[in-house]
Amino acid sequence: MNAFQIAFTVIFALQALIAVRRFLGTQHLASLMFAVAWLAAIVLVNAPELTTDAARLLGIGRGVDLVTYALLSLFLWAHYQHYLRYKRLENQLTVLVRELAILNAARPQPGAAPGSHGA
Amino acid sequence: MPAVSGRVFVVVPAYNEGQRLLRVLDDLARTPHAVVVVDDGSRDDTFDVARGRGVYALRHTINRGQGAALQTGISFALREGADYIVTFDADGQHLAAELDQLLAPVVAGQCDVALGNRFLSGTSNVPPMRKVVLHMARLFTFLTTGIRVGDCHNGYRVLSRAAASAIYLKQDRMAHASEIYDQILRAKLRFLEVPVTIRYSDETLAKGQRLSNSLSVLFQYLFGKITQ
Repeated sequence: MNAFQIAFTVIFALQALIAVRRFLGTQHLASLMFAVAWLAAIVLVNAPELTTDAARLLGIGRGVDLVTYALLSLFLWAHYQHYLRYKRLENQLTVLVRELAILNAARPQPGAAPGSHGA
Repeated sequence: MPAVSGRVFVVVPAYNEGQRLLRVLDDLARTPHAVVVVDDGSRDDTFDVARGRGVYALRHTINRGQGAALQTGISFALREGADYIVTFDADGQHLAAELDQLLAPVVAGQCDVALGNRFLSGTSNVPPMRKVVLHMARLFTFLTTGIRVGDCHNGYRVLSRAAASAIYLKQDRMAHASEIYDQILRAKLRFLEVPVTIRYSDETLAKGQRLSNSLSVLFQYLFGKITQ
């Protein structure tokens, strides 16, 4: 084991521990999935040749390439999901602002301005 | 034209329009109609100007864009029992004197929506560059919605109550101008174009839509279409 592997194994193990604890506390499936991802990262850091095997299986030359493609896809997907959520939030915010504006509407006071509307 | 028997609400979305809004409200005060100003989170005295003129004054706590402000005014007018809803710009480009012309075909039941068209009347002083942008917008609207309109970014419109109820603008910012055609088409509303005058002044030109930001509006519209 080299220094890089030791450092990253420790970091990932801590992350996995945090995720597991959160899962036990909240029962959120996402936390469990994160724990699994961190554990997988520990495996890959210590046995990088596994990614090469997987890459060959898929017809990709190097393990690093496979990891790059996977990360890129994941990044784009996550980015798009966030964009959709952001758009939804924006629309919800507008609806909220709209309702507030309607609730607090100032009504014309009779005789407020000469020459203005009666009806 | 036939006398208007129903209640007409004029919706004026306004963002930092202050003194210009004052002139617009004076102009609209010559009509007998109810006026709803929606202040879209302005930093100036737009809201106080509206309140001082004795019209309905609504305020967005945060700036949400012109499309959002329009929809707020439309929703409010519907709840107040409007029979006809007029949309009117706050910067003084439209003439209140032309309102009856625009109202007439809707009141007469000839159409559900009347759209102002600045190119049908010979009286608008449209600058050449602005003309190019507007014609591109028109082509784009035709290509994406299949609707053939002469002047697709004209804020002067009249909607019947039924038409206003069938429309709900989700494009908060400038792309609502194209979105409204999508919805007119989808709801199978009948529309007519009516010649109106647009008064261009240096002030309105400084604030209006330019070639430089038409691309940004286009992207807003396309992304809005994909994600909704």
